[in-house]
Amino acid sequence: MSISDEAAERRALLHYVLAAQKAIADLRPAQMRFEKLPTAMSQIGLIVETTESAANQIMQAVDEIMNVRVDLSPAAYRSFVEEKCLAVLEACSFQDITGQRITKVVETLLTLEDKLAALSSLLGEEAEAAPEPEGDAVLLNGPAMPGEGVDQDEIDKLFA
Amino acid sequence: MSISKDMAILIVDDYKTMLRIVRSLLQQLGFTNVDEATDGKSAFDMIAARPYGLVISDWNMQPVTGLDLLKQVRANASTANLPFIMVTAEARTENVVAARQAGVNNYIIKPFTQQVLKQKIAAVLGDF
Repeated sequence: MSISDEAAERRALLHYVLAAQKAIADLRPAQMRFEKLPTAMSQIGLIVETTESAANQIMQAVDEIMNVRVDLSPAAYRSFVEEKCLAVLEACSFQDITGQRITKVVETLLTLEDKLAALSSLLGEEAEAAPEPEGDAVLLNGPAMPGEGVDQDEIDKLFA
Repeated sequence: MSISKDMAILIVDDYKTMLRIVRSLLQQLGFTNVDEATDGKSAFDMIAARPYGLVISDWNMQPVTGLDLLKQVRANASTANLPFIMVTAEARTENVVAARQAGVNNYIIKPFTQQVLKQKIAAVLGDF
């Protein structure tokens, strides 16, 4: 290898290292670790809490309506049911709140995805397949996406 | 065949909200003798300790899944014939087939209605 070839190779290596250093710096790993990801996890925790609280509030109101005293006057009955229906409507506000929290989490994930994609591309990294689950774990997919899975009628045919 | 409304029923789900929903639906159907468990392991301990007439279980729970619970129930001579309904969001054909092969008596997809729950209980235990 000539001296000029060796110098060119060193320059290319230097550019590669500087680019990698910039890509890693752009990831802002400390900010991700100590700020963005903990915030996203907190948001998800609050989504679980909010939806659970709303479901309980709705079920409480419905339970009370179903067990309403039979000796109430029509006016008192109406007032009671209206009050409980209002509680149900109020509880349904969780959808707006959780929607906003989910949007924030999605934004964080998209940012992280962009930065990791840039780093991965720079490193010339091939996509690595996730480890395959084994045994009965293969069957755990969670709720099916629209258009996937089978419906109750199809299941009923299997049990007919 | 007619079933007793006093029959002990065990409902198993790791979401307390779902336990409350299923319990409420069962109460509306007249079943008040209902116990709850939040995972497959505690459910199996409860089944071993008390005779139940029916188990209604979620699938996706840790550390012991509903499918594991079903297999344990079927493997135990004293509970091998215990009626078992799976109530789950796992809706792929292979899930239903695996549960069927493990000996589940019926399978309900979440979300479901009280009418569906009533139909499946009647299909497994008879009219009530």
